[in-house]
Amino acid sequence: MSVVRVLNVVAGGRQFALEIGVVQGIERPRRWARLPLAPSYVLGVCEIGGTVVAVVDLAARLGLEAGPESHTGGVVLLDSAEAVGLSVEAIDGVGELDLEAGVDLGPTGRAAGARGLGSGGRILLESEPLVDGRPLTSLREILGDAWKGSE
Amino acid sequence: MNADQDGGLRRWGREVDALSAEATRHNTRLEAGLERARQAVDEVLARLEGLEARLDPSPALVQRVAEVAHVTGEAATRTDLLALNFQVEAARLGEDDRGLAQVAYEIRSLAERGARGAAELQELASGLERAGASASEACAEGRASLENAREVLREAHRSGARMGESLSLARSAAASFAAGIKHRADAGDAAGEAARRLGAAAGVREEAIRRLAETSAARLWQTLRDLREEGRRSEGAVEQVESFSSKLRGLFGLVSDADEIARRAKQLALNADLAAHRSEDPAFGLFAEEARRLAEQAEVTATASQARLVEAQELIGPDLADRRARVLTLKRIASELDRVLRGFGGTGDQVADQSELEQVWREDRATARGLADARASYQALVDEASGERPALE
Repeated sequence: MSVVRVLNVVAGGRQFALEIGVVQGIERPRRWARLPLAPSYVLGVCEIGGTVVAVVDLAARLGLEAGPESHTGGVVLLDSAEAVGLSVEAIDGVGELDLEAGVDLGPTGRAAGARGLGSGGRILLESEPLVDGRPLTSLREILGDAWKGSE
Repeated sequence: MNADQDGGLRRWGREVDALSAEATRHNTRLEAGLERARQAVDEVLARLEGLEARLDPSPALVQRVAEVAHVTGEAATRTDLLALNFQVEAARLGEDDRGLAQVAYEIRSLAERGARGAAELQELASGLERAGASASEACAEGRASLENAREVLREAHRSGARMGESLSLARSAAASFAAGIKHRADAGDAAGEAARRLGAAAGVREEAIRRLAETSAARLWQTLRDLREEGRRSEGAVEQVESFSSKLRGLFGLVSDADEIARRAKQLALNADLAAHRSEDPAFGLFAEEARRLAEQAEVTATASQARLVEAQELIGPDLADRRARVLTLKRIASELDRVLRGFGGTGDQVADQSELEQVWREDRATARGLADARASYQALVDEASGERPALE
């Protein structure tokens, strides 16, 4: 793993990145329907381009407190078998993440929904664990001091 | 009455006469000054009526600015979303940053600036709304304070007229008294005693009139302070409106941003067409269409924003002129009143209220009655002692 092209986002007031290959697009749906009995991190479903998309609150999925909202927030549509979108507080645009200078978190990280820690403290997310409903371990515990350093 | 008493009473009569004449002249000047100040207050109140009527467009101004904020914000959000998706698509296809993605990046920057401008406009609209409410409130407060000033000036004017009458009577009494003394030098001890009592009563009345003048002046000083405070508040309102006006001028930059977005969006559409041919990815064709729609929207936004900002400026102009005129008139009144009061003397550090003024008036009327009684007693004594009718009046 070296330099990857990513979409930079903010959730729970913290900076994350999603590899560009898993991003299908970005939308700002005006309304969505809540789903009864769904996990608390599922905000609901919305219609985007004729497709019903389930929207996951990324901060809640990672066990973080919601950060302040901004006008650049939105839903990142993932390129996956299921139509799923991640709701984030801000979308900072496309960039590059140097993982050579960072940390590859390996299987432990994937269990928490993260692939690695880039230079500058931005956490590269792994999309699959975020949307398949499996229980996630705490990123805070896995990263330890690095979590504080990435604040 | 002996020769010393006679001489003393004659001197006293001359002094009272001179003092009364001076006080009457002073009173005439005071009355004229008060009348001028009252006319100036009436003028401001009339202007205030006009200003209040013209404050009505403020909600319209707020609405115009809010509309511009809404249109600009919507356009910025749509532009940002399109440019962001274009960036993602270009990155997925491995496009070079210096090419398509760069154009998308630049458009995003413009969209962000537009969003900031929209937020600023929204804030401005809220600020204008608050300012409109506080301007109406200040107008009502200013009206109340000026109505109060007018009432005080009217009262002072009436007081001045009453003081003039009192002073005139006192002068007449003093003159008559002096004449009576001259003719009745041999009136005897009883008449001399009555004359002394009469002199004392007239002196008390002079003192009461002086206190009355001071009390009226104290109230006028307070009015002057109120007027100055009102002037400062009005100046603050002028500064506030000037600041809004200046911000509005600055927001014309948003219009050129919207023009720039239109230009870049057209460029993006052309590049997307080229990319669609090069990569055979239909997504670029869709982007091209979207970018053309964006360009049209940005042009409409620029035109609409410009028109609304011009309307907002046209609304704010007359309001500003009125506020400035009001400040000038208030300053003129304060200056006039200040001049009148400086002629009156003192600084009005101790402020008299209405009840104090009324108390002084009651005392003055009581001493006036005492003076009349003393004069009647003196007349009776003189008549009894000499069997003649002295030339008192």
